[in-house]
Amino acid sequence: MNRFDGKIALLTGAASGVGKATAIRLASEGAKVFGLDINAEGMEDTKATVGAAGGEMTCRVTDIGSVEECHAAAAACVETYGGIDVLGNIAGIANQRHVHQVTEAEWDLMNNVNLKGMFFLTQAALPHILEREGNIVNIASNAGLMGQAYTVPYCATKGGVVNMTKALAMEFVKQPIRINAIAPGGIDTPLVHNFELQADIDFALMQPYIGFRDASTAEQIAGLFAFVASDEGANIHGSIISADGGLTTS
Amino acid sequence: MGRYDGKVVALTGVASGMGRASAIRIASEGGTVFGMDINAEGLAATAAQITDAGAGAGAGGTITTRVTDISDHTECAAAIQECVDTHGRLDVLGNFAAISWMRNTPDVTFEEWRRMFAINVDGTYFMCQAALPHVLAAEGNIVNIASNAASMGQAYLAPYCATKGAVAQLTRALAMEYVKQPIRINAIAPGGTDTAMNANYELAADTDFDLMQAAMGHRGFGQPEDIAALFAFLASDDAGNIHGSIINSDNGLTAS
Repeated sequence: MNRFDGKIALLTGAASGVGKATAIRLASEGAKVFGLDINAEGMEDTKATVGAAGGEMTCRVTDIGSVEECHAAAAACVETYGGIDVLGNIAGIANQRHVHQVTEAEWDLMNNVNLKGMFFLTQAALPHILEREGNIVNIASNAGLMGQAYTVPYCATKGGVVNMTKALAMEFVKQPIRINAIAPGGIDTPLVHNFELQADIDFALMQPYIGFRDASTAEQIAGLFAFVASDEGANIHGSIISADGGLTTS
Repeated sequence: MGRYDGKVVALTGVASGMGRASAIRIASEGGTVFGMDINAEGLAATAAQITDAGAGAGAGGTITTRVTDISDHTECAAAIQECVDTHGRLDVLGNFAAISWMRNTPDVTFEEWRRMFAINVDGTYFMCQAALPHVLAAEGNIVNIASNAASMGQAYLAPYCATKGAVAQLTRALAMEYVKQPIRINAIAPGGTDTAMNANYELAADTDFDLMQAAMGHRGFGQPEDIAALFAFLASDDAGNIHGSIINSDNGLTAS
């Protein structure tokens, strides 16, 4: 018997990295996965991997920066599979900039994807999650818990994810659903690979968030996601779970 | 195939509650359990459940036991030595043993304060110290049991809060000291759990329940099996990137 037999998982960021690994992991444990991403090609690749292993996945190209699209995507998931048991808010973007370099457009885009999209998809999914007594797992970051030089907008959005998760958990504490976040450290994913290092970087300031251990794999975060989102995590609510090789320990 | 096949897991507090549930869980996943407690009778009952050939959880598993008073640091060292002498290795140490009680601060005696620190803090630290060379040799890990009391102020529980804050901080400090070595050190911070510890609280006549509301929460107690499931995940290779974390499993107590 699989932990996600009969469960429906709505996942953002399903085209790559942690979102892709989580789609593959949950499908392998019996879930029907409704994947969202702005990257159609990457998501089809995820679906092919899921399908090759005998799993079930539907893709919907979705820009979660649009409130309308968030609501349409949640409705499409319910239309396709009949409900939502697990919402995984995984999509996120990051970049490295000196503060003086950050443009309004960059700030808005990061806020739209990392924070606003997460909130409005959650708003759209909540009635369905309440109906099936399911749960939500948000992906925060060590950047939501520690100050990191040269990633101020990213830290701001991830700090927002941390406290949004706790506030949602309190609002729904008397109802039979669970809301948690995972705070990964550096992960071997495109989000990290695509960091362009700016000139005049003081690497001494970056040491605390590089740490001493290897980056995590996307599959490790997916394994933690599967634990927290399964019934094995029944007692875990309102938690921010750090999985970062010790980055936030000091 | 179990996640703990071939692994030796030393656990304190195995006579009851989360320690017992975790011993059963680890045995059910193929682990060899070295179980410790000061309560010989409860320890024997846990062992009997595991070695029973019947159909219960963990049945048919492997456990050896040692009655151990972890407040005595020489006992910690002797117990770990016996574990390694008996089973040849030590992969995981789980520090579950702890005591708690509620008192108005004016009523706490020095001897009561010292005893709680001796078990909850001294015992946890000196078990870690004794186990570390073997955990390093096995590239294993340590999981300490902290509490929501480690991060929230709780009325009538000042000594307990102080000991659990100490457990959280010694966990973080050990994690930093060993961050360059291939072992992991983490803690679980449970909220109120349906165990003998919580059943045995005696409340003073003048207890102000308003002050206790934050620590009671809205969802009731967790089950020891929930903590055992998290322990089994965290101490397994599935959690290879989790190090220096204090993981709250408390039904939302620490979210506000």
